[in-house]
Amino acid sequence: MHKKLEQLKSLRERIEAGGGKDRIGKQHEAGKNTARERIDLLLEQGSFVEINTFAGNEDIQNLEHPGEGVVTGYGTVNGQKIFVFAQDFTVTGGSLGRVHAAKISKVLDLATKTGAPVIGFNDSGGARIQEGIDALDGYGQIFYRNTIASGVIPQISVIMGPCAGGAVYSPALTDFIIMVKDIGRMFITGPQVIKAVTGAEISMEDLGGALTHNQISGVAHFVVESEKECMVLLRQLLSYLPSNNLEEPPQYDSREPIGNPEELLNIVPEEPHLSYDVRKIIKLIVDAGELLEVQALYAPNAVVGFARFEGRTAGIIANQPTYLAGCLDINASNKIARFVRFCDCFSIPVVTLIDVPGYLPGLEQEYGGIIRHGAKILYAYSEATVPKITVILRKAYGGAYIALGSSSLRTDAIFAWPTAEVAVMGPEGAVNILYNNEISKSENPQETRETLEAEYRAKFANPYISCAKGYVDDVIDPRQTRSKIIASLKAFSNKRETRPQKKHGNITL
Amino acid sequence: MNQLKGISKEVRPEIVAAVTAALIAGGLLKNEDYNPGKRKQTVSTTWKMAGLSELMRSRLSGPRYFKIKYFPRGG
Repeated sequence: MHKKLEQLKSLRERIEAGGGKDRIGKQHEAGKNTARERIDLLLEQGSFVEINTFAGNEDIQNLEHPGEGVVTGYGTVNGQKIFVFAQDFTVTGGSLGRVHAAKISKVLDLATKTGAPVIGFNDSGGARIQEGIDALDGYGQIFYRNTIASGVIPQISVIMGPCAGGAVYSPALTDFIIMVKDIGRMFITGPQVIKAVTGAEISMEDLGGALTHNQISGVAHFVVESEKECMVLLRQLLSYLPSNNLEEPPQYDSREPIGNPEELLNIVPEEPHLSYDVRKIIKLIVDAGELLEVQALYAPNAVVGFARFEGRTAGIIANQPTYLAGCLDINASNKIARFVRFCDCFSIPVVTLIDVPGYLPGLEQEYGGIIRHGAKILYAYSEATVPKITVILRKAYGGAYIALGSSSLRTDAIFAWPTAEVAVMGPEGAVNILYNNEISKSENPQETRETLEAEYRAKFANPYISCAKGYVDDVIDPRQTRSKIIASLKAFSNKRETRPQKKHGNITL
Repeated sequence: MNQLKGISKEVRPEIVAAVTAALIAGGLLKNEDYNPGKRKQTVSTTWKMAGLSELMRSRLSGPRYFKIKYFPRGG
């Protein structure tokens, strides 16, 4: 028995050594941790349980590919059970073959069956070409499971190395993608292929680096400077999420916002053309002023993220007047709709702060399909059955207002600040349409226009008409915003709402 | 759409610096660990669970699930 135990120990050590000292050295030289180091950094000490350690190595004396290029298992983060897989670049470049894929598939199945989040560290050169169609099938098996698990358990992908070709679609199917700067790269075809096909030259980082996918493409949701920061971010993100779609979001002790609530009276400028940073308002109403912003660098005209009210998670959606005046465009529509749908999947209430002048006008927007993309927000809010609370801070104009948590879409509570202007359109546009003849025929068109705009603003651009018609529940003192939201979230925490029987809806993709 | 034409688009260093500064200001690039306190699991009421179950039944096509085939023999 002792001899056999010695053999077991030796085999385990060889597998845990991955690709060996030299390759591990190279991995470190590239500024990257190994798969096992990454798992150790994330999980609570001693909590990791590996599964399928010996998979794929039938000739146990000649370990050709230790672990088959991926380490899989489960452990805990802040007491919460997490399933994890980490591709091991030191073993055949982390390439994905049949057994590699089967190990990941098993982790996804176990996570789905047990209702626990799954985190994947991606660092792979792609398909193991020697295995041919088996490797391709392996990708397909993973994609299928990612899709089935979507909306059942939170799935988070971390890009800590190359992730190219078909491999990108597994992270793309998950809920969140975190990219580590300088080492994480995602693309369908690399710079060489692009050069051969189109003649264009581009560096690997510019094509598929962390900033490219966080700023330009919107593929990724977070960017971090280092692997260590990535683990901090993962712990932060997980702290907001329930383990599965049947669980309630976790609760923490309540913490007061940072700052003086009196400041809420001075953030929104009286002049409607002036902008302000909506994050300042968010920080003054949420627990400890903490907002975990999702896609912070993409479509900055909308701010979405996780925060807490009295210790309970809420999804925050807000227009950001400092960029494009907070107008909704194609990118912002996709960003908001996807976030609302995530919140709805996992019973996270949605709090919307509105200051929207409308949809962004322009040829690029129209040709790009703003109609189709903008409809996604309507769809997401209408479909969501979680508690929905809306606060109108200033402008709430036209279709953009209706799309963002209006009473028409069955929002549970709608509050308006006294600065709110709820109308079909802004005074300038309305006066142009309604009084075009009067203005052009008047002796002083500019003066007439200004007078009419002032009349319109006084008559229509205020919250009281909507209140009178029942579209807005109450006009509140801005300093009461947090208490009103908390009271509403408590009141509606037991909300249940059903829908007609159907397989699934047909969102305007 | 312009991005498709201008493939030479680069991520400029000054933008990277500004983004990094914004992330630091926003507390996203903190070195210290994140600890929001003790995680308490709240439980759904029977009322809410019944509603959720009803909602999911109305959305699903049925309990059809995938067949698990981990290590198929012979490729």
